[in-house]
Amino acid sequence: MREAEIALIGEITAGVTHEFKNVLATIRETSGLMGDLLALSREASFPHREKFAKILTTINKQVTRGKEISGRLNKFAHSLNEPESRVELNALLDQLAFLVQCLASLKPVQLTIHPIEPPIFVHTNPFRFQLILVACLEYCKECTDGARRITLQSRKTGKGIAVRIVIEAGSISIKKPCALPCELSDIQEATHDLGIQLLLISTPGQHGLELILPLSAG
Amino acid sequence: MKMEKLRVLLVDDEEEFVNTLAERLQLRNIIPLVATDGNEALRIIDAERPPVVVMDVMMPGMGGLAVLRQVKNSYPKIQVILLTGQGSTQDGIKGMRIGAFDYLMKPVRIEGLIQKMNEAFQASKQNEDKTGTTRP
Repeated sequence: MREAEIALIGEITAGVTHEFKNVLATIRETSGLMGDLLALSREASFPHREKFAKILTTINKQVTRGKEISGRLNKFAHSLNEPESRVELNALLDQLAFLVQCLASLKPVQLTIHPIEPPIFVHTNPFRFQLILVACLEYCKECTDGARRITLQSRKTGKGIAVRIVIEAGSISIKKPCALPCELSDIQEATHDLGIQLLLISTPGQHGLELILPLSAG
Repeated sequence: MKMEKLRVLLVDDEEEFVNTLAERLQLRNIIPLVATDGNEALRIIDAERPPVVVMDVMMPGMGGLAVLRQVKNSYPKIQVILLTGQGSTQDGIKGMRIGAFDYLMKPVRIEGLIQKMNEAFQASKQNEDKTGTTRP
């Protein structure tokens, strides 16, 4: 039942983003037509011409922004309907970083991705993997007195594909946890199901979490 | 020598979008034809044989891919450009397999769309030259 609910949410969200895309397309064409007519009447006197041109530029910029937001949300919605698939890790992390920056709780945090080169594909449940990552990010933000910068680094290790979520707190003090905290207990079942190992990093230079996806799944 | 004007059929169930796009193309010396569903599109294609069709993939009733299939069966020279949603690249890829000229993500920039329409127009003319047939 839970899976059916998630699939339905994914389907509805994908449908809504499609409609949103139609709204944006109509706004772009309508403002484009206004710009065309403005350009045609270049010789004629037209009050507020410059102001109109500036407004049209703003509309166009916001349509581009809306297009990216709806596109990312659409991709995320489609990921809800994919139980397990082959996903490119850099693209997935980039997608996630964009979406979590829309979450109020993570808005003040600047997320930076250090992509793995060459890009690698992992076989996982993209939706559940993203849920795990969001929980990890929330935890990393909470375990400092206000982390402002978190980086996501991935690399291939002997054990598997490691995704490291590192807090770059600068002068901010770290509330050092000595064991995996209970806030993360909710996702431990999910990590177990996906064969992902969750580790705590707490060294003088680096604090954060590490997820290791098994090599067999990579 | 007089340049042949490009005739293009625009197919989209979003009336305001498709009519505004048609108006903008007209301002750029392109002759637009408009259909707001798949059946209407097929009727116009039968009657007008436009060399290029720009069509949304997701439409109620007969969707863009179903129309594309029929167009390519009956009029293989007609070039079809599909408009897809972001994140729905699978539809675009499916369309290319059926024989679409290309696919673009909505909302499109008019300059990019016109460039693609001109490329499709050239391709349709080349196909005509190869088959030795003439346009209606």
